[in-house]
Amino acid sequence: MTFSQGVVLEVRDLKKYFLVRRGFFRSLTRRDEQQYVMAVDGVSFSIRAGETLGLAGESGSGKTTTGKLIVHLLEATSGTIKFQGRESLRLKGGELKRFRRQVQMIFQDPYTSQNSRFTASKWVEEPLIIYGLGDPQSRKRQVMETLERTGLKPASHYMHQFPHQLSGGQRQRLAIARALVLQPRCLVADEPTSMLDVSLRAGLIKLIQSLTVELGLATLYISHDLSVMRYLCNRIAIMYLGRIVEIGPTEEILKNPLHPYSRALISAVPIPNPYSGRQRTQIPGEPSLRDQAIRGCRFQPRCPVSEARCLEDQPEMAEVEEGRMVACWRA
Amino acid sequence: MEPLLDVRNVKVNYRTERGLVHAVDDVSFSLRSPQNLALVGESGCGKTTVAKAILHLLADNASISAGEITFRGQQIHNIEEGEFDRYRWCEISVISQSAMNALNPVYTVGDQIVEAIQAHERMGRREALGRVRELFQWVGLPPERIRAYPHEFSGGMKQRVIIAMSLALRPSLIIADEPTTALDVIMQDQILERIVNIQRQSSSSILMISHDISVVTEVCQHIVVMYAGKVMESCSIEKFYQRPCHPYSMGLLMAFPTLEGEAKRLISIPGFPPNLLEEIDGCLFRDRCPFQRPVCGEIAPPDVEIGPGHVAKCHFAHQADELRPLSTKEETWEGSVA
Repeated sequence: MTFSQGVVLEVRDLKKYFLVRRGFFRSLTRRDEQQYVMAVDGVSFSIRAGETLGLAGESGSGKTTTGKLIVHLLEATSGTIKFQGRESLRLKGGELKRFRRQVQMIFQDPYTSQNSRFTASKWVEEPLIIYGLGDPQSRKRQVMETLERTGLKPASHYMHQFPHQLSGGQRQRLAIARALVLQPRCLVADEPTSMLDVSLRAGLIKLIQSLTVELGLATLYISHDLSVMRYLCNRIAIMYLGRIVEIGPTEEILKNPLHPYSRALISAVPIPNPYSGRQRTQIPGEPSLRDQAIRGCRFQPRCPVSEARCLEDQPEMAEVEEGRMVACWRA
Repeated sequence: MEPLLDVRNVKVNYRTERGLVHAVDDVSFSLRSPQNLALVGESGCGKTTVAKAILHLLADNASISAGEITFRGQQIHNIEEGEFDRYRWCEISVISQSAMNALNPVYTVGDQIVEAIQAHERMGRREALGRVRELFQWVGLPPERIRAYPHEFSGGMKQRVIIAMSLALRPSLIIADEPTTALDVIMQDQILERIVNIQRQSSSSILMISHDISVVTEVCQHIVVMYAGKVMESCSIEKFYQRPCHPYSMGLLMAFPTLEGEAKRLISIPGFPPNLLEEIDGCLFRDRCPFQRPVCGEIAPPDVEIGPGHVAKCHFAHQADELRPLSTKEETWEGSVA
């Protein structure tokens, strides 16, 4: 596969299977049979510089696992993750360290992911020290610049604050500052706004958006909240039980979803307008790990439009329009 | 008509090492059956404290220092614990955010609901189980799952069990504190649909506490917006959407992302809620308000009546029609870091 122009991150057929541990007695009776949870099962996408891709799905869809695989917090079972044209999964030693510096992650919970004994400036400076970058003076300058860049202005005020002195929104900005200080090319953001109040959420969305564009980052934004994604992401990928079922430009997916699961997910989002007359989603049940063992389409047990073929063959992703792919026999 | 629940000028203080925190300050609203009422606000605005005050569940360091709470015309805030048991579960039940984690893991879910029924009503086990079966149907759980243990359910199904339990004694008021926040969006939609249907069939009323405007829009008819322990605006859901009269309400609506219509520009309200340990003169929202004037720092705004059942705590509530178009502009709200 050729390395397309501007693509920073390219994920191909990524898989992560977790072995299910069984109890002692059952391991005696069924020795040969091993069970896996296919948390991520053949995920492919690419992100260009300056672009935000949204990875949407319900709990258990594998979206967070995908994020962790990209930053090498988990080891992939198979597949490739090309970063700036180079395969990253088999990197070791110094090369792996360089890779990690350029691919940063922000986590969901700003209350538990920060060291409560570090001041803001120490927290942001630490990565620079770990990577041995600069001298104390240049580091300080860089820390101040990064704090201001993430909206913690004036930096001279915030640099001495401890996490408990900051609000949730400011803490999340601090987390972004720590990730940015290393000048990464790729940012993985796992539900960074879900714990914030509504009035602060918009500010953080705009920050991630402008940083992505200005610094030319490739941003993967993981969330279950499609309405937030609408304001932030250029494209959206929708995951179901470890697979991407649909991917395409944000407004096109939201206005005209082609996969029945995308349709269900989008129609389930409540609308803050008493006159909207929204039709409720009509799919039954919940995703079940048992459905992973299905030979055909994993969504078939809940699908309102499934046909005979869906039971037999697993639909592969197919391009229906330029830049728009769907994995459904009926699309 | 007498309201089902009436909260009148209620104040709740928390005693802390650093002084009194005025978590709820002069809050009033009334819920008339068969209406559903939403108590909306951001973290720390006091909405859950109001619910706890109604339910006699306040922490030891908190107390109701003023005001009264009446249920069907009877005062319930100052009665003895034993007396309140008459109301608990039979008249007023709760669905809380994490209630699904409060199920006892070593009893079947059916037994737990039977226990709740038998604690309040003289009823044989067989009859009680029959009631549970009926409840399960209502909330969309297969009746044979009565004998299942909590760990055999998913989060969404456990939340349905909790809803079934809250309905077990046919209460006239259900207090739902963020009932779907922990759930996925499809499950949330299914549960909201159940809640709305059940409420229609059973003639219970819901007091819903949430930060999510879109969720309460679909369930409630009346909304009470709280900020820093006070009610900022109280009106019908329709009025709130079309004619919000408090700048905070306007900001919230503009900050809320939606899938509907064209993608508007989201605004973020600058600044933070005030520290409730301090006595503050004037309007509590003024530091974040783009329309503040000198009077806002001097005099606490009165409750301005805009129309029947529509009140806003703002000096300029009558000029809201002029402020509203400005509130939709991003520049209006630009200020310090949120």
